[in-house]
Amino acid sequence: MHRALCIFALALLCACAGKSPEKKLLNDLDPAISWVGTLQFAAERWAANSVPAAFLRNSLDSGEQALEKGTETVDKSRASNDLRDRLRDELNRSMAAAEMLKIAVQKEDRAAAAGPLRILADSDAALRHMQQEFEER
Amino acid sequence: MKKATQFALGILTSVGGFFDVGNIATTAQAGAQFRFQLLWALVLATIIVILLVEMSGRFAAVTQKALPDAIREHFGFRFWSVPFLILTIVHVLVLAAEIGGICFALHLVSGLPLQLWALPVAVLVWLFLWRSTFNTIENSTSVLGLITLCFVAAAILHHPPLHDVAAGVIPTLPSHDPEKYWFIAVSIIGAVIAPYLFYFYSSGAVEDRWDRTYIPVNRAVAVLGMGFGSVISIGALVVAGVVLAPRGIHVSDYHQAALMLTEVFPFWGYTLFAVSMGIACLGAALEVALSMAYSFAQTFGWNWGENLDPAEDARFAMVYTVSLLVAALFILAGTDPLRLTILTMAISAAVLPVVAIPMLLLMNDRKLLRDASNGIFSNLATAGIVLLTLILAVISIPLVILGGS
Repeated sequence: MHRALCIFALALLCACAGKSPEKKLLNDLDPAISWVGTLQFAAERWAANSVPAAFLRNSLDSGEQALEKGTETVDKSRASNDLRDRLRDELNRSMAAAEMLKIAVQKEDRAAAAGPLRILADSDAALRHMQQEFEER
Repeated sequence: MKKATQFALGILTSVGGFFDVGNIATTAQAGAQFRFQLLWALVLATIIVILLVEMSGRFAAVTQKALPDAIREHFGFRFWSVPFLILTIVHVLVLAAEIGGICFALHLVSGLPLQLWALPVAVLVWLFLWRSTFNTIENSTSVLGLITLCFVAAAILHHPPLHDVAAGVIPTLPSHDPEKYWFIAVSIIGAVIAPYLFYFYSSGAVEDRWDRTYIPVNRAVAVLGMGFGSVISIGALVVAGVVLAPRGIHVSDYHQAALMLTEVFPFWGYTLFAVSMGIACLGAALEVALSMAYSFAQTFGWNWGENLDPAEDARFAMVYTVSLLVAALFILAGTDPLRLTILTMAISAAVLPVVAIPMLLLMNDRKLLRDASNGIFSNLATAGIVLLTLILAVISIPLVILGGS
């Protein structure tokens, strides 16, 4: 029993240790990528008057923190430059969209959310495509 | 009539003890990351908690003693001191998580920072405990807790693929992120089989003056009450699986979970989530604070009882007062409530053997329980529970490190 449990714990450790730098980076970026999807959803709901402005503002603050942390993770990573550049681009685009949303919320202009929503949707799709791409390798 | 109303104890215990901040957090994470694949963990934990709650209630009904009291008497203070210390630490952490849950619900409704609500919430919970009787707490949170059925309604209205939902009840290996999968599985089990749940239940049965004639009622309450909580939790997991998972939203913040009901209830969904979370966590906070006060009073032989005037059980009242203040300080200090919750659930799973085994040993004491002691089935189930809790205890710590990030 004791041996079986040690083997299980070791297997888990090995599962983590065996990842390439690219897979590790995409794994570490999961919270940031998740927040891109969250901001898109939260903004859609705000535009549809389902959630209050205060909620979207708080979500944007939390989301921006996660995205900033994501770019720091990208900078520190040993993954390929190509992947890092692509990730950095999408994270920066998402942060720019978040800033545009903040202005829209401040002005209570729900129609102005359409532009940043498109940006977030594109970034979300691109980031999840990258995740799938490296998952399949 | 009184026996019929005892279902309220079961519903309170399920709303407060089952569907609480731990369940909200773990089911949201499970559904968001793995869709319906972790339903089996919820079902397994429900079966185990029904058994434990039934045993706890049966014990109290036959002996008219609550568990901490009986364990201390039976095994001695030195033996009990270790589970008691561990239970106290878990109580404080869970109470802090529940207060965090209420604060987050108020933050959603008001837009004001979460920390601002820490002390007012602690005072609110304290006022409930100071001024109310056990029956009032029991009945009010039971009725208010019915709002959490919104998760069940949302799950039905989303028309989830029933085949996939049913398949989730069968344990499977994860298709991705195995360390996160097993961590969330352990956290779900830790959230459901919360140690304070069956300790509180036994004290509640003594407060309600159960006797041997309540044994059938106890069985029904355990099954229906925990079953009710489980159905709500399954609803929450399914909703997260249908709403959050396709969007790639993995719940690392309660703001992400708060969006769960906004698709199917465009106008009310946000408010329903906030109110459900607030009430579920309030019920749990009351339960945990009481459970802590019960365990202290019964350990040290003080007067105890929510139905007593605070002047008659001052030390009992002091315990819940101090514990609420300490718990509130966690949130006031800026502790992330979701991280606190997830960590606490994993710790709960880890300490389960220490707090559950003494109770399971008592259930086989034929001098105490006579014909109401555990039979073969209960003992087989008990052996299975002990084995599972030992496994959880060993694996939860590396999983916290690997999967909890």
